[in-house]
Amino acid sequence: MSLHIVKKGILDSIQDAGHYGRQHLGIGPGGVMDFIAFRTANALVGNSKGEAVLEMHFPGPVIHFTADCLIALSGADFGAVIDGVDININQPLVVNKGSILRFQQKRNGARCYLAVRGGLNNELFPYHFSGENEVVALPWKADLCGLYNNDRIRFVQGSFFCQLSESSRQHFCNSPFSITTQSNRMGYRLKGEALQLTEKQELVSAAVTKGTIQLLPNGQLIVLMADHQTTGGYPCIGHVISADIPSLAQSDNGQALAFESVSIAEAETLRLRQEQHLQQLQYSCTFRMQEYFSL
Amino acid sequence: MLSIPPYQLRSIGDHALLIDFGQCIDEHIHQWVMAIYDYFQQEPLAGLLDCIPAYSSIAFVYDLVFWRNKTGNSTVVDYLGRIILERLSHVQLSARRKINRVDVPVCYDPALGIDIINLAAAHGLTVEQVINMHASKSYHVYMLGFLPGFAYMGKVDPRIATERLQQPRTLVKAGSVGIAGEQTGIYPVDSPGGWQLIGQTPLRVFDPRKKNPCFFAPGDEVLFYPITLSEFQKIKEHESAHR
Repeated sequence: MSLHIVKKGILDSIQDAGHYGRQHLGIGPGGVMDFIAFRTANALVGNSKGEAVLEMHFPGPVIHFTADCLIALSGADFGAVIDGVDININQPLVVNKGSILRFQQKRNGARCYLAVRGGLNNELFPYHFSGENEVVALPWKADLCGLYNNDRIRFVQGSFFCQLSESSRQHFCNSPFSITTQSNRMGYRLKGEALQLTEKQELVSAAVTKGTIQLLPNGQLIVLMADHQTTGGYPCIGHVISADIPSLAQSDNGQALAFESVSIAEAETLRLRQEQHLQQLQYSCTFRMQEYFSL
Repeated sequence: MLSIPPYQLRSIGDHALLIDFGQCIDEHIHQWVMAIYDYFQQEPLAGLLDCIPAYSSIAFVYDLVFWRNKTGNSTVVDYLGRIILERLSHVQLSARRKINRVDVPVCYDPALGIDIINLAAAHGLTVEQVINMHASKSYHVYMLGFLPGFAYMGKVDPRIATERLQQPRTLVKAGSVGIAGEQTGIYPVDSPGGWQLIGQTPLRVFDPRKKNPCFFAPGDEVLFYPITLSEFQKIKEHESAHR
């Protein structure tokens, strides 16, 4: 292990792509909130796409590197500094043994990810850059343009969408909803105009998924996130599309959200395009790294 | 041969499909749910991440990217939906389905089943009668959900069926046995909860350190048997010693 957490941040956790196959036992898959940042950070250090990373919130941890490492940060920008030097997110960094990483201010986003080449239990990184600085940024950056969708959170309609009253449907698609402080990795509780169904429903529980938008009895909404329960009994009025889960994961408490309805076909296409972009990023990073280190 | 009850196939978001038999808690419907579940266990389908049986539905969570790369111009929902429907035509109710029967000791002492006195009074019953009614029949595990290992079982005798508490408790002890409407269940870990608590089992029904962490699985048949407070303590100590 080449990392030592000197001071814990708020809700730091080690996450990977999640583990499916046990939802019939009530065990959800978990995993990272923002898979774009997760994939990007891993790609930048040349890891396989599923390697575990550190998911951090603000205030973030203080991390001491006990060995030379190749690292990358992605996702939220928390004003990272290594030994007094400002560092960028979305750029690979060679960090020398003894360096200290801190996060100084929340600039944007809600979750920052740290990947280390070889994983958090990595082997020694065979390059040491001697010089004044303890950190050297490698000369390329990941371009995430178009991967996040900052305007609106897109959703496909759920089975109860059509049973919303006419005015509630209007509100859902046209009014802002704010993310309340009762939001976490399990779900985002939203506050907005209370929505109503045309008739009251008592439902038997059934499976829910990441992104499911449930209507609570008080008319407010909850969007299920990475650590969601496997089943639920509230009416589902929509489901945030897979491609926009990372954008939602980077939206912070207090922030306003607007929803936009899309078809399933669009949702699928958007996710596929995003995946192609991420694959491309992975290839380019591997290529750059091979070239740079002549590995 | 019994034919499959009417159902709807629909998407739940862009990465899951649901076979829905309608709003009901019915053992016959649930046998079909489990027959579908068993079929997909025996004949696994690549790119399927989870099959989640519930009271009257079963969900298929899939890897959207994996499937989207196979479907050409068709959407995954249509393409995979057709595959699932085709597979349903092969599913049969098997009389030979191996049913796992589990006996669960429960201490109904009011010290642990903190709502049992009120619940009995509300139904004009004695505590003894409530215990007899709860422990005299076997329950079907319809699904697991809410928490890892939380089994939704039913149905309880209608004479002890009781609505959830108006105000859920912020802490319910692991092992607590509760009633909610016609359902009964055991809290696998300490958690908030609104079910009416009538007893507690000393068994650990969820243990993440075990290879099979959950004591129950969908389709199990469960029988509760009453134990005294001192037996409860004894089993509990034994359980802790053998972790």
